[in-house]
Amino acid sequence: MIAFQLPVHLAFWQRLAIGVVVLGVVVPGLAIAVATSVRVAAARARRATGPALAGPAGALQPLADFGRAIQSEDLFAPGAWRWIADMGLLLAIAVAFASAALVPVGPNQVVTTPRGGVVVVCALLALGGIGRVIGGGRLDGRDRVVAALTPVAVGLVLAGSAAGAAIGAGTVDLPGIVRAQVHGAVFGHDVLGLPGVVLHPLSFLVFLIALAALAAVGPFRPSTLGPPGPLAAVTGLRRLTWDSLRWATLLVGCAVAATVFLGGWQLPGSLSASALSVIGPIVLVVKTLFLVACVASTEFALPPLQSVDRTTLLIRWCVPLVLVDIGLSMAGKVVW
Amino acid sequence: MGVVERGLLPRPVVQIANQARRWSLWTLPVGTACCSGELHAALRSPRIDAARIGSQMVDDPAAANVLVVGGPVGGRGASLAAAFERIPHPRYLMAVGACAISGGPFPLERGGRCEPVALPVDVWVPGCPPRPEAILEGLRCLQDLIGAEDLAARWHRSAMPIARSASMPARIGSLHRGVESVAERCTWEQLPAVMARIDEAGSFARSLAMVEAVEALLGADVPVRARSVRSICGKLTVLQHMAGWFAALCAMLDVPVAESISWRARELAVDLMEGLTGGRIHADVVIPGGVRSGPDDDWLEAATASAAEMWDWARTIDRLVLDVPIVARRLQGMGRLSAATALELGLAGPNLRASGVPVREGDVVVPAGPRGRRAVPESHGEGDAHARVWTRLQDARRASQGLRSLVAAAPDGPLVWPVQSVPPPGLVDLCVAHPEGSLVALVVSDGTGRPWRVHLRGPGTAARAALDHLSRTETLSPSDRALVAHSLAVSDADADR
Repeated sequence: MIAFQLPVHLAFWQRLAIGVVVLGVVVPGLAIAVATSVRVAAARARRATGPALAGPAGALQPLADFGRAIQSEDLFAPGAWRWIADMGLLLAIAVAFASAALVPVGPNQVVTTPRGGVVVVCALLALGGIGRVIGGGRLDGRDRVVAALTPVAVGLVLAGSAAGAAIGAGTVDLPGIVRAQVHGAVFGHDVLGLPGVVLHPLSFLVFLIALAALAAVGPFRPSTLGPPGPLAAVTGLRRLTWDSLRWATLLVGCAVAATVFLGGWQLPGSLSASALSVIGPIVLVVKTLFLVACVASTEFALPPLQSVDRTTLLIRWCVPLVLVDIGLSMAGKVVW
Repeated sequence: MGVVERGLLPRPVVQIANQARRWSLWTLPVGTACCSGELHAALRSPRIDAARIGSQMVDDPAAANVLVVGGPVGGRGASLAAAFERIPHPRYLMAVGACAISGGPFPLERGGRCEPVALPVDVWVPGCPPRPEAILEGLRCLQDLIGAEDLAARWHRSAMPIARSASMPARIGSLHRGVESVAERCTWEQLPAVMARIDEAGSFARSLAMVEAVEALLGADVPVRARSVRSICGKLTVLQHMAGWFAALCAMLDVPVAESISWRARELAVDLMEGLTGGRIHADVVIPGGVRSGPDDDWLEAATASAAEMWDWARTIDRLVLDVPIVARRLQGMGRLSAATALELGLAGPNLRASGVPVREGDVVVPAGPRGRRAVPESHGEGDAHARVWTRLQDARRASQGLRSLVAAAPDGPLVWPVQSVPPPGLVDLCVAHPEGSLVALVVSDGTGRPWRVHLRGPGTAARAALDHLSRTETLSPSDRALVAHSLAVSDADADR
């Protein structure tokens, strides 16, 4: 296991204090500021004032909305088998954290590198989908049990689409895949490196489609008629919890895609390892958010891409494409 | 785990929880009649800006925590209770307007009575309809109530089984006929005010129809100035209706800036109507022989400025909604009605013209100014939702243009000429302009102080029939169905209460 290494040495209590401040003050403060700003900006666009009376200048409005949301619903569906639901919730939360911990955010900044590498991360993401289905819904019929197994198939496609890049890199380790992309050169020029997306564009696309399908797996039926407003998808504690876990899957999956296909924390040019230790996490976050925006905007802008159509797309078109990509990668590996 | 229900939460935690609910009222409005416009104006319009107090309007019961009911419940008791039950605990109910509070003045046909809301109401907002400011004040009262409430008691109250309304099967036109029967028990002077209270869109048109029927029975004429005031009110009704209609459309299409300026345009029209007649929605201004009040110089000046602003609004809507390819494509081809189908269904007004039916000038009565009748606006005639939106925008443009010319040429003179109070025996049927087409009125007098028979039919029934037809012939998703229903301007007033 490789521990986090900051560019400057800090004592344990200093790191603890920084962690507490970041997690307890800075992150919630930023979240509140962003949420309030979004609502106020949306109101100004409508020539209205927006939240103004909940706290100073309406700054506590997101907290009020959050407080209302967590009072509004029970966490589990009415009539759910409680012990299965509990297990599903624990599984989904544990898997979300575990899969996030496996993504390297810098040259030496990774919690652990499992032997299975990217395959393990994909398996964990699929496991999270199963946890969401059995924890948030009710397993009261054959259709729902089958739906709970859907993430397994999607997870296989996910791992398969990353396999080509892993074969090309000669390793399944995520840090190893990043380094392999850095050392690649196009026609002898090492300016950009050779990110996986250049050699495996179709696999990259399939990975994102499978990821969108996996992120859509949840206890709620997708609806095209959503209520308006920035927090509209959140109807209460139940929806808040399970939708947060869906978004966590999307976030981690996009981080994996950015690592495998877009070079992870790396930037063009030759930067020192200590510089990349600072810049790398930011680079990875930017790449990840870009992919999240792409997937989410496609989801919202193209309502026909609902789960059934996407599953059909995956089985009919994506699986053959993935197999072709794996074959070509193996052949390329043998030839070159 | 029962911590909340058993009152085991510490008081500071309860207070924090109360404050969170107090400043986050997510409302689900259910407006069934003339309260609907004011209800949506209160919850969505930027002038009232209910978001200042943390209120947000949603259209899904699962996302709401306050149900706001405005208008008569009628046969909807069961569906209202079902919507209330889908709202997660703790939930609140606000009854807006006389009809929701007490059943209103309207009995149903054959002896039944229109019921008030049969659910546990937390806040009542009286009025017919109440102003948006009053509805906002109702939300503030609800906030005060939530801020001081006992969470355990609220939980128990919310969890109590809901008393079902013992009910009233829904019958097409039952309340409508009930209103007509009320009108038949009124005096001739009360007739216009009673008939106005059926819906928001055609309130003025309904009272005008009654007054013109009485004038026809009396053989009375009205002064030129009164005719001008009536025309101005007609234009304002069209603008008020179209602006509110576009505001709701833009909310459905998620074009918030266009929605905002549409609310602004509606408020301008409603303000002008209030300045001229004293009433915002129900303008009780027309009387046999003339009108009660006329415009003064200040009003004319304000109306000139507002008419120009409303003209700009229509142009901006064209640019922000119909010229945007993604919005246009969302509407094109959806809910298509051919000319033959539109005629067969009995559609009128913009819905008929949008289907490409060449309406001649004499076929539909358009609000007439001092210079006589005006040409009916054209349509591109595709018959789909886009064509209906486009046609209504042309109507709004013409109404703002007409308002500007009417205001510029407002004549002087008397507002009313004396007429007899009781018309002689006779029958009259006539047609007056309505923002959504035309109203057909039939009034029979037997020479007594009350009308013997009153019938009034508007364009809403045909629009409802068109929606049913499209539901059978097209596969519509819930959002598409909502858009198609809105494009047809399906009004409950003439259909089912």
